[in-house]
Order: sequence, then C-alpha cells, then structure tokens
Amino acid sequence: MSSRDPSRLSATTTPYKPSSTSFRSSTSGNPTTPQSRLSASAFSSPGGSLHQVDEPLIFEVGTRFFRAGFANESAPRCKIGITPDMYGRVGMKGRGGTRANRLTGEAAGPRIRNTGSEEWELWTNDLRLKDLGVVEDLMERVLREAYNKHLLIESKSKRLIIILPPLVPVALQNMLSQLLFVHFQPPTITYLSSPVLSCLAAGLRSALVVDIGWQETTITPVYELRPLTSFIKISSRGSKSLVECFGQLLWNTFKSKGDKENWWRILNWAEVEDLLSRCGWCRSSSDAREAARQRARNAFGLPREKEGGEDEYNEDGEYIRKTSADIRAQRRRETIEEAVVQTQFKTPLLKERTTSLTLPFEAMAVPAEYAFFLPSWTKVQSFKTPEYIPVPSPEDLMDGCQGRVEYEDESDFTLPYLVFLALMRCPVDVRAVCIPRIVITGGASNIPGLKSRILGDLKDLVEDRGGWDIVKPRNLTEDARRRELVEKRPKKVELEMLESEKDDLRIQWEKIGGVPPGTIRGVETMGAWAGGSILSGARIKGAVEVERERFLSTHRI
Amino acid sequence: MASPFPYIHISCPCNEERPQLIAVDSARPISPTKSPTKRDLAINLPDPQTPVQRRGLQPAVSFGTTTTDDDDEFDKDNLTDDDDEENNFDPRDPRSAFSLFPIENLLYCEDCHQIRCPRCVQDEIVCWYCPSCLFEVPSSTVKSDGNRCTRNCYLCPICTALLSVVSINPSSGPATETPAGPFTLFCNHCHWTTADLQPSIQLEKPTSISTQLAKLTSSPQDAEFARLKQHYAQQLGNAQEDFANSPAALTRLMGLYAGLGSSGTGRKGRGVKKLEMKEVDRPKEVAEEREMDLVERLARAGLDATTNTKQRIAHPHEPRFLSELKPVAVLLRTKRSKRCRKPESKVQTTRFRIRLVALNYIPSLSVKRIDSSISLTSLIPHKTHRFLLGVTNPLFEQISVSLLTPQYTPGTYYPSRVTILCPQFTVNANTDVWDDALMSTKPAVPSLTAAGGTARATSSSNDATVFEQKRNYTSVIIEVVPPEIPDIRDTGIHDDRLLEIPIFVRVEFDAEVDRDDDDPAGGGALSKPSSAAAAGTSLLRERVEYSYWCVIGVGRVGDPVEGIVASEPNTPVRTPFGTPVKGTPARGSRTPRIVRTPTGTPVKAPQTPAAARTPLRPTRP
Repeated sequence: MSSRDPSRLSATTTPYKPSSTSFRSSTSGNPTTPQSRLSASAFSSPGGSLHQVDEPLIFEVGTRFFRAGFANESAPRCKIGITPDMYGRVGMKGRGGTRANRLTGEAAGPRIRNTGSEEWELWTNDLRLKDLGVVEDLMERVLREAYNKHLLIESKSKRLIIILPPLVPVALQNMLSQLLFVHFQPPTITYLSSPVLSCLAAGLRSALVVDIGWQETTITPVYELRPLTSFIKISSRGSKSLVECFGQLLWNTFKSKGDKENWWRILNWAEVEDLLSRCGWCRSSSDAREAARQRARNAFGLPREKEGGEDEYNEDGEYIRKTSADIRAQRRRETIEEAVVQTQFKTPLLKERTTSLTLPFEAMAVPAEYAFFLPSWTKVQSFKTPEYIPVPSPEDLMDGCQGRVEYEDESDFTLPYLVFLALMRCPVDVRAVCIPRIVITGGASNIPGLKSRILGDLKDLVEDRGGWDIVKPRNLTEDARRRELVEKRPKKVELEMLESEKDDLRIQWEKIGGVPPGTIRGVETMGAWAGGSILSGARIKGAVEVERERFLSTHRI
Repeated sequence: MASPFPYIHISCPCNEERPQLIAVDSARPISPTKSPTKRDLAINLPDPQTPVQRRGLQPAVSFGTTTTDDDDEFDKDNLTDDDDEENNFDPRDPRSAFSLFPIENLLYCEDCHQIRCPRCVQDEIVCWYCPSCLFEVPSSTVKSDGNRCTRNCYLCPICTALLSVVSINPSSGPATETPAGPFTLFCNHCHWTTADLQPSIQLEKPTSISTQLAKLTSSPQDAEFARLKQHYAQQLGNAQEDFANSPAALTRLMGLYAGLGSSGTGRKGRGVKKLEMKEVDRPKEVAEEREMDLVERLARAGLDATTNTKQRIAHPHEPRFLSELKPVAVLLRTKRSKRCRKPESKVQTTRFRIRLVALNYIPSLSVKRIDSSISLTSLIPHKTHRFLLGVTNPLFEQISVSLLTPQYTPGTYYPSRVTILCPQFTVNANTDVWDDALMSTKPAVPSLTAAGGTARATSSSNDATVFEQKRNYTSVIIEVVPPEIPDIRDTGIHDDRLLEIPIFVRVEFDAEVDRDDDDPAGGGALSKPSSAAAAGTSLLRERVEYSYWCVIGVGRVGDPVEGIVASEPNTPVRTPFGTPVKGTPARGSRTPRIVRTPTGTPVKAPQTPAAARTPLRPTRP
C-alpha cells in the first residue's frame, strides 16, 4: 500500500478536488491511472499555472437553474436553483405577516410565497407579461451569489463563456450582457448555444439534440457542430408540465369534491418537484404499449387480458422459451408492482397541517405519461382512478384521435412523434447522420427510463409507418399480404444467408466504430455545461466575443 | 408567534439611477395589460456613466405647497405620462423587493454621500479562509483546491454538520493511547458515517483526509469527462501533449483554426484536412436495460434512500442515492472589502473604499405604536391608528429631516390614508453621552433650545409639533387610516391587506468638506470640528443632503369591526367580497401624489370619535 508509506504521502500533497479530473488528470496520456493523477509534478509546472489565469468562467443560464464553474472541470462548481425566496426582500421571510388556514382561519405559519411556476423560474419565453427589470434584478442576485459564495473570484479578471438555450429571446441576452458588463465587468463574454455543446459533450459532431427543458422541449439538429436553427422543433411539453401534471394528480387524489383551488396553493411546488425527481420514472416502451392496448380493450368493453398463459406460445403455437432476460424483466415488474412510496406533504391551508399519502410505485410513472406521451387534451385524473389514465372513448380510438384539437400545433404531439417530425423535416443527409445520434438531455431526461422510452416509441413509430416516408402509408398490412402472394418466398437457407450477410455488415460497422445507417440510437451526453468546459479547455478563441467597451458604447450585442 | 411587524426597509437609491435597458424596439413588445412605462418608451437612453437624474429629487419639484401648484403639476403629468406612479416609490412593485434592505445591510459612501447597497458596490477579495478551521488559504492554491478547505474539515452530505474522524474499533485501552485505524468520518448529528457507503470509505490515518479521500473517491462521470477531453485533445492534432498545457501546440492550433475561418468552408487545404475530426470511439449509448435497472433499484430502495434536491445540488455530479454521497469539504469564505462602484475605479486608490456601514451615517428610523392595545396583525379598518416614528441620529452633526409620504399608499386598490403630523424637524447631534454630564448644562441647553426652536419654528405655523425629543432622537406621530379590505389573500398573489407605507426621507446637515483620503478614521474629523479648527485647517463646511425612500411595514389590516365606519366620503366603504372598488378612491388611489402633509388644509387626519386625539406631550427639555 502506497499510502502507508509516510514519505510518499508527504511528497504527494494532493489537495482536495471535488472533480478529480480537471486539467490535471489529462496532463498524462492515460488519465485513468491514479498514479499519474496524483503525481504532483504533472501539474505544478509553471506553464500550467500561467495559463490558468486566462481560463474563462463558464455559466449556463437556464430557466430554473444557473450553473457556474471553471473551464476544464467535469462539473460546475455551483448550481443555483431559482426559488420564490429569491424574489423576496433581503431580511424578510416570506411576504410579511402570516397566512391563515382556509377553513379555520387560524394562523398557518409565515406568509411564504406559494405561487405558481412563475416565481420558480428566471424568465418566461413570453416576455410580454414579464418585467425584464425583475429578471435583471434576480439575475444579478444569482450572479452575485455565484461569484461571492461559490466561485470566490473577482469578477473583473475573468472572461466569460455563457451557454444559452437555442431560443433565448434577444432582449434577455442584451439584458444579461448589460447586467454583466455594468455590475461585474468581465473583459469579454462569449455566447454559446447549448445544443452544440451537448453534442460535443456526447463525443459527437452531429446529433439530434432533444433538450427537455423547463418551459419547453427543443429539438435541434446539429450537423458538423453547427445548429440547424431553421429545423428546430419546439414543444411546450417540458419539466414544468411534468411537475404540473404530478401536482394536479396529487391534489386530485386528496381534495374534497368541488374544490376548485389550484394545486400549487395547497402543495408546495418544491416538495412536489422534489418527490418527482427522487422517485419519478418512466415506463418502458413495451410496457406502455401493453397498457395502452389494455385501455383500448377496456374502451370497447372487453375484459382485461390475462398475463402469462398465452404468452408462452407464439402465434404458430410454438412454445417460447423464457430467456433469462424475460425472467429478469418479469422479476423487475414484480418488484415495481410491490413497491410503494410513502410521502408527506405540508398542507398548511387545509384542515390537516400535513397530508400523508401512500402511493404505489407504479403511480410515479404516470406524470411522465401525461406530460410527454399522451395527447395534450387528456384530462389529468387522480391517483384514485384505476390505471391513473382515463380510458379513451371508442370514438376517439376509431378516429385515431384525429380532429380533437381544432388548431393543432406541435405541442399537441407526443414527444416521440415530434422527434420523428424533426428528423423528417431535416435534409436527408442530416437525417441519415442524426438518426443514430439522438442525444436527449435537459432536466427531465434524468428521469430513469425516459430516454429509452422516447427512443423506443420512436422505433415503434418508424416501424409502424414503414420507414421514413412523408406520406403515411394507410394500408401496410394489405401491402404486405399482397407482396407475399406475388413475390416468391425465399427459402430458409437463403434467409439465413441474408441474415449472416447482415451480420457481417454489422460487424463491419462496429469495427469502424459506427452503427449501420438507419438504426435509431441514443447517445448519452454529459450536458451542455461539460461541453462548454471541454471547449474552453481547448482554448479556441470564440468567433464572436462581446467586448466590454464595445458593448457599453452601443448597448447592443 | 412573534409578530414580524413593524419593520423598516430602506430603498437604495441605485434603484433609480441604474441605466435602464434598451432592448425595446422590436424585442420587447409592450405589454397589453400594463400601460407602457417610461422604461418602454425611453429610446434615447443616457450613457451609463452619467447617471440619470435621480428620481428621488424629482418629487421635490412637484411638491407644490399650494394646492394650485399641485393641480397644475398634476394636470401636466397627466397629459404627458402616467408619471405620478413613477415618482412614488411603490413597495408592491416586484422590482422594489430587490432594492429594499434592512438598514443593517446597507453601506454608505463618504465620497458620494450616498447609500450603497450590496448591489451597487464592487467586492474585492482580501483573503480566503475556511470557516471551520479558520485557516487562511493562499490565493495561489484556492482555485486548484476547488475553493474548498484542504485540511480535515468535512461536512456531512446529509445534514451538513461537521464530520469528525473516529476509529472503527473504539479503543478500550487508556485514553492516552492514540486510537488505531482504520478511521471513518462520522457525523455527530445524524450519525451518518462513511462506513455506510457503497463501497465504504475507510481511512488509514486520522490526518490528511483530503489526500486519502481523493484516492478513494472517483466517479464514472469524471472518467467519462477525461475520456472525452483526451479524445478532443487527440483530435486537435496532438495526441501526446495535452492541448491545455502546451503553448506550442496551442498556437499551432490557433493558426489552423484561424486559417480555416478565413479560407472559407469549401476549400480543402492541408490545415483543413488535419482538422477533420472523428467522433469519439464508442460513445456511451442509451440502454433501456440500464435505465430499467435503475428503476428497479429505486423501487427496491424506496424513497428514503434517495437524495433530496438540496443534497443533490451540493454534489458535483448529482447522485441519486444516499449511498453515493461523499463527504463534502467545507467551502471557503472570503473576506471582502467594498468599493463604491460609482466612479470607474482605479484599482490602486483607496478612495471610494467604503469604510463604515450605513448605520453610522444615516438616521435610523423606528416605529412604535402609541396605543399598545392595537394588534399590528389586525389593524381595524377606518380607525385612526397612531404610531410613533422615531429618528435617531448617528452623526456628530445636527441634522434636519423632512419626511414625505404619499397621501394614500400606492400600488393597491385599497389605499390607506397616511398623515405625518410633523414632517420637518431636526435631530440633535450624536454627542457623547458623557458630554452632557461632564460639561454640566453648558453645551446641552443651548443646542436643545436651538433645536426646539427650529422645530417649533418650522412647525408652529402648521400646528404640529414633534412628539418627543431626546439627545439624538426625535419622534413624530404618524397617523394611518386603513380602509376596509376584502380578504383575498388565499386567492390573490398580492396581499392587499399588508399595510406598507413608503416614506421619502430627506436629510440635510453641515459637514466638513476637506477630508483627507488617508484619514484612518472617517468619522473622526467630523466628530470634532473644533479640534480641526484648532489644528489650523480651514474649516470649510458644506451642506450635505441626501434622500432615500424607505418602507415601513406597519402591519396587516384586519376584519372590519362593528361601529367603526368610514367617516369621510372618499375613503372606501364596505364593499361586497371579492369586488375591488376600482374607482371609489378616485384620484387618491390611482394617482397618489406626494403632498406635503399637513399643509393645513384638507389632508388632515380624519377625526373619528373612536380615535380621539391624545394630547401631545410637550417637548422634553
């Protein structure tokens, strides 16, 4: 053991590093060996410290969270969430006075800010109803906290790299520059677009970046590290709608009949969001399809199909042997079915100060269904209704859910369909590159199962439609049958040969480290902030830098 | 429950002199609900270096003492802009929450004679230190240490209490014997220990914990990040050297990149070919199996095994389970000096460095109720509530104070009527307590009589007088008549029943002009003008004047009480629930004007039988 050796230890006085791979770990050729990581000589060279001086700070500005940190580190130094407290005055908790219980009128604690989403976010994309001055003030507060509490650095000395969502309003960007240059006085600011950096942080050069953000989901094709802004698709389905669905489900579960109160007045937004981020999950594609099928059967009055039993044989009557994966999946399903979640919410305005709920773990997958995978007009039920999702009417099923919304827009589409549309609209070359490189990022993508669900649904969708054709084929099965009658059926040997050819192709692709074209594949990313960190570590001067003096003379980016 | 009322917040003047934003033309549509404010219409915005004319001073122009002036001013304002609301400070405006501070949080710049809030000062870091072990950290290592203490200060990731190092095998022997390892970090508060982790962390020595932890903890994200970084470093042309640390490689790359930029996209030069980049080998793919395993683990572990938002944010890679949490090293703190941001500061000068807090310069206000039977959390509508507004002078000069308040509290449909009985008065200097006693009555009597004289002189015509005057303290009476307000606090976002009074405070005093920058004691020269004169410096005195808005949170208006009804025609009368009286307090509420109260005529407080005036006490000698 090297650490037992006192002389060694005294030699390697490695200071604490929360992110152990910063510029140091990559100084050697092989960063994974701890020996080289800890060698003091590798990073105490004078050259390194000299260069450190002009390393920029990297800020990522999101609607809910602000991340800040240094270049060449794997994680931001701080992540500051926007809470209603930040909208309040210094030295005053809540809004002064007390609030009262709705029924008894007794005092129920200080008047904390129990608001809707608007005080949990930095800005709204609809700036008509938002006072930009408030955004500026709040931003200033957040930045000051980041500088003074976490970065511990004088703001004047450091260049800035700011990562913004692709569709941030120009007014906001102007405001941000103004604020920074006046209050914090950095020499220059470089703005970078988050999808490109997400793509970079996935190790790719082209990708379809699906950013499930707070207010909206943006789907941006990135080709050779350039965002194709004219092909961006936006949906209002985002983390906000996810939390809203969950809150509504919870409130529907225990509210008394006819109570028209908003859920966020009763429940604290933070508690609801916290619970969702802790144990929210998303059903797998096959499970969800099965559930939808059961609902459809239910709609037509058919009994629920029993599980097991018939599954053991396929259509031809052949016995299907259960693979170990099947058994595992079965066991997993049982585990999930048995699990429950016990929670407690503070509900000071109700008769009871706290409300305890015991929910099945399965129910935690429902908000994601509502928020991302059900049509937008689906009414949010409660956790008391069976299946938690309303049974569609037969008419809807027959219509294929058409014509329900008079003026349909992209927010009405489910997320996988929107991804499909986004790919569809891309030029064919871009599409070919992007299909095996789908990067799903953003706050909600941390929900386990969501990424694979979107990809799985997308695969099903493409299969159903029979490929990437703009015209939706109406009668696929008929076509297939006709073809079967006309065409000669290949023999079994030929089929096997075909398969082996395909295998060869696959192996060939794998050898060069790629995937066969047309395969839908998702790629994990480390997030836009890490991308910015990598990029600024490469020390390439940004093509567009906003300089302080110039900005202050024109007030325009 | 302790009542939070009354409180006093002071609005920093930087709120008004800030350069406004100009992203108006196309980017910011004018909101349909709000009438366009000045901010929307201002196209010719001034240079940020030259401050906008302070809004605080504008009211002084429009404060006509005669009613005709007032009306003229009002009409003009009405024609040009909806300007009156702009002039008045509105505590309900969402922006005002960012400029209001308790007096303890404010600073004062001696050079600009202006209040400075945490937002309008520039921080300069003096040193870094660990709040736990109080060791100072040299600036060269701060950043590479991750802004964290590298000694043995670690916090519990669950409850953020300080962890202590304990031996796994508690020694049964004598206490003098040093305990034998291995050691763990243990939280005395929540009994969390690093031995619980998966895999558990055990240290071999009780010292230099950071070194040992750095070896034991490594996250997959860090490895992934390193892999990516290395990949890009290789792609950028130099597989051997890290691009971050090799200046030669760097300049070459820069050259390549610049060449690419200038030559355009289509050309296939030599440099371009070199920059042809590949994707990372085998990017991490999204795997359904892995995600579903996570779900299963969640289901099995239950809610209690997961981290909450706060714990998650505190860690760099946001772990999902409690078992993945690591001890958190204590975040360093800084000692900072503040500098007034007003001038484009040259770093070397000590000028504009703020030395003392505002509490030492600006008079502190206090509010007391006269009648102790009234409850601040439920003020009675239509009743005249009287409060004592006290002003304490921290300066060694006598100050004259004038208080101005809108007749009706702004920003709400339910304005309360506010009257300050004696809006102009003086507060005596903050002389040494012992001066009075030691010098017997010689200095005390003339100053007090002079002060009393001035106070009377200004107020005698208005039949109002100060309530009480002490050494450096003067108090006046402020009368508040809240209207009847329907209780909509559960439905409305704004709490209409919260009664906050904005008051414009203007302070004037004579101060010495000539003050050396290197004078160590800022207030020292001020304190002894006579000694300064004796030293031979020319005793230049200048009139210093500053003004600011402050907001007094008086209390909350309660439910109406039988028998006390509106006694004046323009106070809002009882209205059905939930229908705000829009036009009833006609001009008073929509366009509250600052009037100099009491001007003798109509602004006087309503004389309700319930609030019979208590006779004012005479000024105490």
